[in-house]
Amino acid sequence: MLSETEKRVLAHPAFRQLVRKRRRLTWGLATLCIGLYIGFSLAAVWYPEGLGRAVVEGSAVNFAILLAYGIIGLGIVASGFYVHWANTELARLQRELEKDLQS
Amino acid sequence: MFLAFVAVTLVITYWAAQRTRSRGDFYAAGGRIGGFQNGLAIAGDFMSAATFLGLSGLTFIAGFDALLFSIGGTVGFVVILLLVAERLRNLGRYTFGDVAAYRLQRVPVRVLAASGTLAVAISYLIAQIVGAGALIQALFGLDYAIAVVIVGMLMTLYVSFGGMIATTWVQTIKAVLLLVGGSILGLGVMLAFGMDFSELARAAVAKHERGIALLAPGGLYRDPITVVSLALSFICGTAGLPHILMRFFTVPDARQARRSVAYATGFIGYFMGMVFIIGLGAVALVSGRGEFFGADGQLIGGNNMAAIHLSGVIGGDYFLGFISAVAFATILAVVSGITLSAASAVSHDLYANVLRHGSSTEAAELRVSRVTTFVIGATVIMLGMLFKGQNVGILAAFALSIAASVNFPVLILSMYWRGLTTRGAVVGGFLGLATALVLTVLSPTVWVGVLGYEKAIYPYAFPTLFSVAAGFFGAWLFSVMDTSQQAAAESEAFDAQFIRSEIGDIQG
Repeated sequence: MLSETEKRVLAHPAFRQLVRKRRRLTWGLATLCIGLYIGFSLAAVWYPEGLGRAVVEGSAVNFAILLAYGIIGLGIVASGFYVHWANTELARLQRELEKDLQS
Repeated sequence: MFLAFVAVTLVITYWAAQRTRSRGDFYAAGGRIGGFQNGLAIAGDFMSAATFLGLSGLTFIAGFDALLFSIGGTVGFVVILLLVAERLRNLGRYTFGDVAAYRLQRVPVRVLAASGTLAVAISYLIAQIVGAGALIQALFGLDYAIAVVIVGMLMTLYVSFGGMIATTWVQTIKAVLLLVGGSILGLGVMLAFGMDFSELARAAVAKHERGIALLAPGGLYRDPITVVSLALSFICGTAGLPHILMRFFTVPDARQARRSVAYATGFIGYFMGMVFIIGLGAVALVSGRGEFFGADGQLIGGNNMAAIHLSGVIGGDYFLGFISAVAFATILAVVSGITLSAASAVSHDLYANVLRHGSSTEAAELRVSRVTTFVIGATVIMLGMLFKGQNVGILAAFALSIAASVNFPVLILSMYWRGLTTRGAVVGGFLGLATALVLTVLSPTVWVGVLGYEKAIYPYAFPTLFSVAAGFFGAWLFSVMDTSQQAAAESEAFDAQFIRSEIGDIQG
């Protein structure tokens, strides 16, 4: 059974906003990164020669290597972005919620 | 130099042992670690022998495909950050068993969690000890078996007397050294080729039997099922690694937990990228030089030693000593972390909560923890002998596959799905575990490589696609089939758990 406080939290608009925004961003970013990783892995298996082609004529860097490092870089950026967003936006919503609950 | 470093880490462990006063300290360093330091510690835990030695070794033999592992490591951490880290911190206390058992029946879930943790721990430990054994063997010319025994004993010493504080500090220091050492190594490689990646690649291609194909995909894996399984091992398995998850409980709140994972992702992504360069450098500079190869034409110490030999080429004997010491400390520290999580699983989950129904004394729990450590040490030493010569990166991927099939489905479903019941969690978890273990044993690496049969019964390198599916499916099926009153109560309890997972403990 939920306590009074818990019932208030569930109904509170700040809480619902927090949940909704977090859900969208986390699952969105996760799907993106996971999708790219699995997609790239499959491409590596199905088009090894295509991916093995050099990006710039004469360079040893092929699409495979470029994309691999690209996905790694994207992962790092996505992490930084989420933390920044969570520590500002989510924190704001949470403070709002806590203030209301104390009153 | 090598021995001096080992001595320093032992001193730190002793100092930490003096500061371990309570169960809280032993398991979670009293909740006092900051975000940046914890990020380093997490990265240190993950950048184990598997990453440094294993992936560079994998690049040495197969080229590009090792990068698939690298991407995996990074994406795995992104998944942890986005879906797992904060909720875990908000909900749990010391182990992920605590979290999984939040609204479900404690006893069966803790048994499951402990089993999963033990299976993952032991398989991950095998990877580390194989790496350490090869290292000691290559450096001192000792017999592999003796090397394995020595490492096993040192590891046991570390954990028994230090607990989490010791491993956190050791991990942090080791992480810094590994990052610095690896960077110097990578930089050295690039400098040897005028900072031109193409030059490096060309030199590697010239020396390697695969030629230009070295840089393209296809060196190791050529079918979609294996490659998706590998990806899943990282995506789901990283979030199921008990020793990594435990590190979220050493920070004061969810905010710090977030930051530590983000830092960790940065460090790990960077290091993963570096390892490929190191591997290519090894191909270019180590192959073809007789002094590194034994009478049988094989690299001394196996492919896991590629980076070590490279360090000798780049920086001479001193650098070789330094890198070897760093690698060894790496392994020792990771081994401590894993053993700690396994020992906690037995003493906290199994002993304190199942056997003693939550009423054991701290002293008793700590004692059980220390005994477990010895037992695990002995087991792993024996198994380490069995897996001699296997690439460490691949061995670690097996551990990840298990984590992906047992710990991950149960953890994710218990945090996100209202409908998960105890029965579903336990059946699904054990189903995932059994599938992963059986298929791994039947796979080419083990069935043919270790046990010596002709042809593998399970043809793919990794079991993950099937074992994760089994875990989730089992959990789902047995949850929806469960129409008992208890199941209804568990669904009802979801809301309270959900609130707490989102915003932490607001009741005080």
